[in-house]
Amino acid sequence: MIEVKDLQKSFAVKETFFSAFTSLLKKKEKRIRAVNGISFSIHAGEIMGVAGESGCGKTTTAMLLLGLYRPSGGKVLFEGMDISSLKGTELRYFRRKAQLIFQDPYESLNPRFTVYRTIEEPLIVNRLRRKSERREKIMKAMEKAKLMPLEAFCDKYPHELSGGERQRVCIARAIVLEPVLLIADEATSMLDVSIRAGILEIIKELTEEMKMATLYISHDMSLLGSICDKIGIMYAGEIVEIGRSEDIIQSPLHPYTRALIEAVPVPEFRRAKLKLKAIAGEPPDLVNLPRGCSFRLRCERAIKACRTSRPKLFEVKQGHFVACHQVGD
Amino acid sequence: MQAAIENENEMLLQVDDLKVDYQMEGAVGRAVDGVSFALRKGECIGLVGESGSGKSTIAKAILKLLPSNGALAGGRVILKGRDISHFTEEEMDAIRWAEISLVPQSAMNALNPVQRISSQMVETFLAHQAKADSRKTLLDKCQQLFEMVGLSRNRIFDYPHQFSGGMRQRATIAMAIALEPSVVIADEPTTALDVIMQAQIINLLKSLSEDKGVSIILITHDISIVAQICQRVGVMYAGRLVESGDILKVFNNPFHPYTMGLKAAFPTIKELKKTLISIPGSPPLLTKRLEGCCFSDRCPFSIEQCQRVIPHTVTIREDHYVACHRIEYAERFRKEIIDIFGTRVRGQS
Repeated sequence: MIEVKDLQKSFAVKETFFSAFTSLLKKKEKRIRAVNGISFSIHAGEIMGVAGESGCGKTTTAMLLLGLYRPSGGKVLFEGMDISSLKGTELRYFRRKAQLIFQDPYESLNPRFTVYRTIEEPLIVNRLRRKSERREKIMKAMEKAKLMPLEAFCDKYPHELSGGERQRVCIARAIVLEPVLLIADEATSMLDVSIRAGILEIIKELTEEMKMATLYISHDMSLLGSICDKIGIMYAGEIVEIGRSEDIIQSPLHPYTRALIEAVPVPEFRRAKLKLKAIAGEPPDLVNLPRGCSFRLRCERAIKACRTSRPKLFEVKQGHFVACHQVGD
Repeated sequence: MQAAIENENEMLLQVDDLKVDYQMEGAVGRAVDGVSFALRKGECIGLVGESGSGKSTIAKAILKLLPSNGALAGGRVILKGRDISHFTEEEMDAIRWAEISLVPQSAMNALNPVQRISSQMVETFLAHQAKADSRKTLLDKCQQLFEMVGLSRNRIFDYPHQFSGGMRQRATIAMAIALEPSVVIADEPTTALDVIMQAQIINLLKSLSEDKGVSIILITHDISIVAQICQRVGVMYAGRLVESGDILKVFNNPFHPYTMGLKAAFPTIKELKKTLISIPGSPPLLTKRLEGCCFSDRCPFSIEQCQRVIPHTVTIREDHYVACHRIEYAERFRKEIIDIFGTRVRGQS
């Protein structure tokens, strides 16, 4: 299980000579606030989806969870340990147990490694010396990722594989160390539609079978709705709504969640075309976030309170949280 | 779709038995293999298919913009009654943008990064029209176009990097409609964008076709986008058009197993528990000479005949064409394909 508490990450803005001078005058350092105090937890065997527009901090969150970025505030608890305090053996253990599947299976495999060698790499890095033991683990991982028949795949190179097969190699590589946390960052968006469901199925099955906590990042709400147990909606570095998938998709409360759902084109075929609802505008500048609710500039229902105070997440019904002044009270 | 051509006047663009070959390391790959379709005035037609199915190659072949290793191996492209497939470069120059324009796949790379958008747009006019118009009038025209696509007038003096992805895509659309072409080819216009930007661009394309009467060829892999915009659709697989026609007929009652598969592979937000399917295998290599149906290797209903004989395109009913040997079993296949390929991914029980 993984728990995230008030996690924050900001990056220093590269300053030009002139902007450095002005910010010196203002005595305020410019920082991009990519992730702005988010909290959630993912249990073993559960898939949590994170949705939001590009630039909302989804990938930064993934990097923080993997310990690849050091948080600017808050913490990530992995099996009860704060990952930024880990050292030595504990850190190596964490690195083994937290794995990532990338978006692009064409870019994330070494073209000169065979499938077998690719999946063996994490084992070698983690000093599993006995060859027979490695072989056994590799075979098991390949089986789980449905790279069958095993013999046919072992000696193949990435260029001999299709996109779906490559992504299954990436999955096998990620699970060969039996991770506790698995992060999939848009893992099917580069794949052809006819094979996407197969990859999603593997991720879902493995999450349950291996009792992993899985974080699935995507901006495709229909995809998240079909595989996730719960979904968190991010906007400008914050979670604005989080809850069980059905609640989020069937009864969204935050105006932004609604906008995301209404913008999804539906494969329903009719003569008279309906117009999609697309909210205007763009996400706010992460350096100068607006005061109050960060969504208020694009929100049709913004009231005075939205301008002055930042709404906090509160529980509307069991397990369904939303941060909006207009909901509830 | 040839049979659909009854009224020649109505037809804006006809693609007739188009074949495109690519030279690939000694071998020849046929990327488009005998594709025919027609675009009527004011209509929006969608070309859907997986990557490598030849959708973009068709766009390039129509505009004669094939890369140096690609060549037309047969067929005709008829624009308003003229066969443009044998036009010279100069003759094509007069047609590109003025008659047929392209909204390219990645708006990120389609604009010149070191030129203001204003000068790139004015250039489009200067390349085609008499240079009599003053720069100021042209600029004013460009600004009107900017407003039409939902960008503010004064942003035209920006450089591309000052625009977000969605704004760049709008700018390329503005350029594509600048000379009021009769056909706009939009090649995966929303692929790099997130949902909200995507919805804005879909609405924009829809209003261009509905309000301005622009005819659009929309190339995409996403049938839900086609559902939003198009009246007709062509489903491509391995360089061939396997099914085509009226969008309601094709997708509500698909006759080709690949179309059935494609439809069932899409998750929909309206129905979280929908059983999604995944079709094992991948399309045949381009260089492979196909004896039979291009989908036969992956098709669960393929019989010996499918491996051996290329299926002809037949007319199922008005404006619905299919290339499959086993159309009489379509109804049964529609049910069975879900049982055969259905996955466990289906929301929460």
